[in-house]
Amino acid sequence: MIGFLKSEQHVQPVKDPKQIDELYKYWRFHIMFTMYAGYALFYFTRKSFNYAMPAMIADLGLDKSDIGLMGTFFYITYGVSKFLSGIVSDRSNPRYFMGIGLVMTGIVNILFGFSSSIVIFTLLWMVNAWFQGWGWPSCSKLLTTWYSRSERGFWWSLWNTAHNVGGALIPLLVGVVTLHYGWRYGFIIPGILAVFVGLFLCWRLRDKPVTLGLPTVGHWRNDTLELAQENEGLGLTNTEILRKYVLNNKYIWLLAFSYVLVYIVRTAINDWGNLYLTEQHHYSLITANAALSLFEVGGFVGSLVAGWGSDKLFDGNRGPMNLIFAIGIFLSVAALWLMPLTGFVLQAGCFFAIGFFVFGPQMLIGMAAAECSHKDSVGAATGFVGLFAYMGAALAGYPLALVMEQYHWAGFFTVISCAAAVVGLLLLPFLKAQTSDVNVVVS
Amino acid sequence: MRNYGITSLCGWLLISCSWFCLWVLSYYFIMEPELAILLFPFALRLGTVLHTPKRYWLAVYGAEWWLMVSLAILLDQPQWLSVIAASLISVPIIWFAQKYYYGSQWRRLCVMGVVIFSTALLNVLVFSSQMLSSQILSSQILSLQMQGAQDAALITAPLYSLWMVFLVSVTGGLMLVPSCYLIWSYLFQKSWIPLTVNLVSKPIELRSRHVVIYVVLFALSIAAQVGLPEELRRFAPFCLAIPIILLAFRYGWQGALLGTLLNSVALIAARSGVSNMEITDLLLSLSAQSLTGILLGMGIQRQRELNQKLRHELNRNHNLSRQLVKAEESVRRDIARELHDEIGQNITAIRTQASILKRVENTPMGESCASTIESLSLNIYDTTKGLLTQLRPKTLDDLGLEEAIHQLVRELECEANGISTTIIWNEPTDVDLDLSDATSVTLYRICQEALNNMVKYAQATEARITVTFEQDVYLTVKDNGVGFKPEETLRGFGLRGMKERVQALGGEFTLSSDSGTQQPGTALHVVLPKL
Repeated sequence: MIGFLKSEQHVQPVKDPKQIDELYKYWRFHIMFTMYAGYALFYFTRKSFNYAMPAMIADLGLDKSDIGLMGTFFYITYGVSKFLSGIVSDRSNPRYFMGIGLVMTGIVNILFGFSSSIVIFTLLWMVNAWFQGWGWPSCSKLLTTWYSRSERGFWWSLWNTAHNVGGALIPLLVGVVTLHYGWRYGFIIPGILAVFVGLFLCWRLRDKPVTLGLPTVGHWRNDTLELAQENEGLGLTNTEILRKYVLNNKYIWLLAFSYVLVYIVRTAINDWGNLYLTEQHHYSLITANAALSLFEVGGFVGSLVAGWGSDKLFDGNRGPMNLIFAIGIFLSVAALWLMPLTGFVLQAGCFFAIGFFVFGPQMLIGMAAAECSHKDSVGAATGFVGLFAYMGAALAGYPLALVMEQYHWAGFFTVISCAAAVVGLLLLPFLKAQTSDVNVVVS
Repeated sequence: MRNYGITSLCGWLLISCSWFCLWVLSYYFIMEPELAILLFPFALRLGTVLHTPKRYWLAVYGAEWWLMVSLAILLDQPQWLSVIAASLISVPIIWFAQKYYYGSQWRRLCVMGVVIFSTALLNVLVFSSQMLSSQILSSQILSLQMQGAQDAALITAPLYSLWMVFLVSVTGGLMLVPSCYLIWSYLFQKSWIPLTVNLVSKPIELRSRHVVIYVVLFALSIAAQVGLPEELRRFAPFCLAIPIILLAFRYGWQGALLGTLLNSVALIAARSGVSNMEITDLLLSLSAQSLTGILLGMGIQRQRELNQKLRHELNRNHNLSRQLVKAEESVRRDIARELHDEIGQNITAIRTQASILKRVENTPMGESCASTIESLSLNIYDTTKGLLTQLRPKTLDDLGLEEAIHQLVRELECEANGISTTIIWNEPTDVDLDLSDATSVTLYRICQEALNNMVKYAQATEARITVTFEQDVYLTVKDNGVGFKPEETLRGFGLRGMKERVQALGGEFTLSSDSGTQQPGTALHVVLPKL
């Protein structure tokens, strides 16, 4: 690893409590803001292809199956990269890790704008996926080191909405740019933006609070649970930590499997939604995309509600809220499937509801993975479940297309409603694990 | 205040999304947008409101009202006033019901039932008044233009749909309100501790076998509903009962409710058409199976609770009788000690005094009195000694159980009576034998009683006593005597008393006898817990 990517050495600790408070408040706000902008930009460079694709098909005459294959390659590379970079990022400085990742995706996007052959496209897009994976683990590391246990639900959900903001802005940006300047600029402009924001990240992000001479966030907020996690498994080597708290942690595996299913639903709705609307309800592409954008809006709202609810209603336990949202996914998917009417507001409402319910577990499972593992393996744990998530996403691509060929839309919806139901089942052990200790009924 | 605002907003969003999805689902199988509101969405609202503090009701009702109004506008159906009125009228009812909504789950279930039926009746009332007014309007218009035939149709049609209003409201309520209770009691009534790293050391409790069994059951039930041919129509409803009964048996009414929900999915998946009659059939079967499921589950759970209570009482009973036996033994021991120490010494003293008196006194009168005193006190001494052995086998305290039984055999002069006796003593060598007083006394007395009977009646030539110590104590007394008829078993007071005592201590007592067969004899088996 290049020297400066390494986590910084600890500096002289700050002693003055007032100064600690000020520094903490300042950096918590600024890191959140910077991460938010950075992650939204990661979405710009990730999704640019999806929205420029129709113009590319028209311009270069690309084959649909090639594009499907590119998508699958992208998801798999992205998942693997998330896991590997998660392991690396646990020992490196998220400031440069995330910043450089974003700069690189920007450069790849610019290069993509200048290419014309499918082989180069595929290769570049896999390189892009590789650097895309540098974003999430860094963010989860920052979120677990700068924000403590009892408030994390809120902060994490706030950050999580960057997914939706990025996802909602990029179709507009790429749409407008492609319409006016051609698809090449649809890659180049997000790429340039990403390079600039990436440099901004390198400038404005910071490593762990300890490297600034601050006490850990558990000490600062006097959060007993946070302190317990900070003190868990001290003195283990990195490989031992990785093995004990990630690879041999059965709960992480459960989370990973339910994440696969959540991502099947998410990706299926996201990628196939407009096709469903145009085929089944005869929408025009514009209205279909508009209805689909409600999915992101619902996700924005849903992840905030889920994060807040798990903090306030269930004392920072992510299990019950996950279960409620999993029931919601099942109901909303069934509603979209069985909706007997065609009407923009009705379908858009269904997409809103699905987004609302899907992004709850989408966020909570990631957060739960970070919280079930060691403080020094947060990146690896979230990367690990992320790897599975994108296997789910890959499953929602080509394999789901095969199902649809055989059984049409009924098959499609059967698969995703079953996936939604199983998410709930897989999360049940979490309720068990937590209630076996304390079982006080408050009436 | 800010907290209240955020909670309300989040609740409102959550309820709005679920309400809308449920409306779509109910619309799908009733095919009438207004009635659809009465099915699942109203039931969801009812279930949520019943379990929410009153200050958050605005959020729940707000979600319902804005969705109803906007759906009415969207679908261009401005006459949805009656659903909105029904929603408004439900507020005081639930307000009133919530006062009684506390305590045991039986009470809560009863309140739920009452609320479901009363709101359903209210819905009918609201709808009928609206229909009446619209009918008057339309009949005024119609009477100007048309004749009797259409009038008749107009009068029968609303009656049918009033029945539908009732049915729809009850079905939705029966399915969703108890489910809301389940979610509420499982998720919101527990105090949660957050996920921590400690989970690593905690094993996963996923009863995968159960899950697989129920999933297979569910799949089979859907397959049965969808795939059974028309000729087997009568059989299909019975298939629904199987998962309900299984789940009810395993998990009480909550399990049964889960079963009925799964069945509902199966029924909905298998629904055949959208005509009024078919929808009525579907709704009726849904509510019938929900009702049966919940009632059956409640019944089973009630039985199980009673059973539990009974078992508890039985246990207590056992303990009490055990203590009774122990208390009896300890009283006997105390009395025996007193008798032995006090009376024994005094009698010896009396006898000494009497013999001194005999020697000192020289009148014949006095001498005979003294010898009478001496013989009388000797009598008392003998009687006391007999009493003492009856009260408490002294040898047991002095020698221990094994020696005491050997002593018993010697005392009863078995060998002299022609009975050769073997005693087999299986005592674990590695574990320290720690018998309670009640157990060892009981064992001793049983041996005593059995040997006594044997010597008196059995005319046996061989006897064998086996004592084995394992988890419990096993005692067998066997002889090859003449035996006795089964009806004479336990006629004697002694053995019956022993049997009662053994049962009181939680043991088993079996006495078998063969008379007149090839190998006659009596065998007595006793199992006693070590305590």
